[in-house]
Amino acid sequence: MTDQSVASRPAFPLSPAVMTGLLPFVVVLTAWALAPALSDIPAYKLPSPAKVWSTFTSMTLDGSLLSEIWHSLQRLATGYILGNLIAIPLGLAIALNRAVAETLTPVLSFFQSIAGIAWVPLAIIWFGVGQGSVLFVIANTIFFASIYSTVIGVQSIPQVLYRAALCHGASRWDIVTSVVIPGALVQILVGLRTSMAYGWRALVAAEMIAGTNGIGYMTLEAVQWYQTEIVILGMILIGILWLALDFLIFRPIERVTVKRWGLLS
Amino acid sequence: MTDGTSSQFRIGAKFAPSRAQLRGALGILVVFVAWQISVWVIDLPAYFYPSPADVASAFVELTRKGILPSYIADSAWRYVAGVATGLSLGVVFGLLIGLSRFWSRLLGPIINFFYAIVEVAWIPLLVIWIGYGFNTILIAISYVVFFPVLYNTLTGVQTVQKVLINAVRTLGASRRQVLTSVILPSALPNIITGFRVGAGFAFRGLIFAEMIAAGSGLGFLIFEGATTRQTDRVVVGMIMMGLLWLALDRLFLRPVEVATIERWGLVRAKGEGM
Amino acid sequence: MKLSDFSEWFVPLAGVATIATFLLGSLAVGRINETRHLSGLDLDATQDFAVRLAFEPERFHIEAFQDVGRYQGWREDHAVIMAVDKGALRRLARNYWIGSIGPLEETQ
Repeated sequence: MTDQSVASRPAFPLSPAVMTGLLPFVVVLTAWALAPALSDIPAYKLPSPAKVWSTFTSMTLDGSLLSEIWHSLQRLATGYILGNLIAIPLGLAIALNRAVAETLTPVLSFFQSIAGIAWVPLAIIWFGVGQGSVLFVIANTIFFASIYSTVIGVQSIPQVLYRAALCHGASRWDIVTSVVIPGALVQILVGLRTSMAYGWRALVAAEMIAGTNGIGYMTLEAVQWYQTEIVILGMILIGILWLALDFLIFRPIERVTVKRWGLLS
Repeated sequence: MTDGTSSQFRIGAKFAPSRAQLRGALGILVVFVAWQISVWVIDLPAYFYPSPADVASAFVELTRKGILPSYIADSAWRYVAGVATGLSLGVVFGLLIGLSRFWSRLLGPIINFFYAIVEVAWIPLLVIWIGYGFNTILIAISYVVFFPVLYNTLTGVQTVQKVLINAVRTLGASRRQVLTSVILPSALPNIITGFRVGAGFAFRGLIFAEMIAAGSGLGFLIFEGATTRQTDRVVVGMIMMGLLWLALDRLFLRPVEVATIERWGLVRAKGEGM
Repeated sequence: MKLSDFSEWFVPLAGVATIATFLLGSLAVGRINETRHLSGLDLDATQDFAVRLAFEPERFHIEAFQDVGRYQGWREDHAVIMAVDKGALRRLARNYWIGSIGPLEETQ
């Protein structure tokens, strides 16, 4: 079989590489399934894979799982869009004036460092447990992460570019559109990714502490009832959702920007 | 400093506040003033919206009673232990995967899978398996540091210039010598950068873990302050958290990273978007 | 190798040195407090102690008391702890927030 015979290639490439890669998964699943037989770990600590699977199917069928996922994603999207929509223009505005940028950078970096989790208890005092608190924490996290990236991004534009633009008779607006925004774009995109990374963690964490629904809430709440199968299900879903976000949103964005502007992520 | 004086060892120039730093200090002052003004304007009880004075007196009280130093020590110990564990494991596995095609194929996919499960999501299961306290937090913190360190070590190992390895080999170096004299130093800047990224997530992860799974520490202080309606304590905890992280990052992590890069080469951060 | 080669490491090294000094200092202060609070006490004479604080104890302090022995409660200005473990008492005495430690009087 030569490389030209594409038609004779199997549909799913079962190359040695793929097989080796799948091996650990198989080992983990097998060990998990055999655990009750091999050791005396109580069932409440490690429910069998079958139990987790059946919990998954029953929760999907009665709609509760989709409802939790929907609540989480809707919160994340709202917080993400709101946070970035305010942070990026505000950050650009702040950073345009060097004096203002230098004045506010330490403050912004301070707030960036406590972004997220640290605000949850305060949010509970202000908004009570529920949607308001969780959304506040997510938006807050994303806002501070994003604005910090944006300001740093603008500040890292070399002076030379400003002078070059002025030499060519650029107006203030021209400078904003052709020097500031492209120059800071890489850092702004990094900020979009970083703020999502922090925002995602803030979502799960805030739901656990201050939420009344959502994937995070579902996962921690199950601990109280020793429903470990729900805990494990929640964890797997959190992993899958993040992978989905990454593949469906961020990788395409990075690919587009790399193609268009030749930027490296 | 873009004016090129950073390579000169001039203590005087290093310690004199620059205009940017003075402006920064002004910015902090402005925030405090704005905070106090908002307290007067909002005019709500201290348990809802504490003033700078409330927070300052809570700080004094917590220190006088020995609570704050003790909690900070607990948090610091958990953090250092977790970060050190995560760093070691990350470097070991990064080297393993970077240097061996077999291990890379074997462990790559499953590591990528677990990377997607954020450390925050592990806390409930760890609480069921191990319970509350130090061990749970240690595992969670190590977990979150492990991945950025691993991926950056991997990058570092994979981008070692082949010519260096070949040069050392022609001089008769053994495999171990190639590792210690070429690969490790070359990958060191990447390792440090990965460490810095991981340390950041680990710090926030620590605070969260302490809120749920500990009876002491800064995270616990912030949480307990809220449950006992002592909002001034909540703010003390938040401010201490910010100050400690900034001190750690600006005075230690970044300078070490910069110094390592200056000595051993160029680097690009991987994994900061996660 | 000039001194300027190490200039980039100055800040982190200074930070490490400060933390090390701080840790050693707090260990030293702990020993001093231990001696100060336990001076003049005959530890073998009794199992029950009264620990005075300059303030009302919070949950944090009560937990500390419970680590030392059987905490029986707070009486106005001191904590009553019985069946004290001497090693734990020493460790408690290292804290600066302790007012004083004394044997439990009959009337307390």
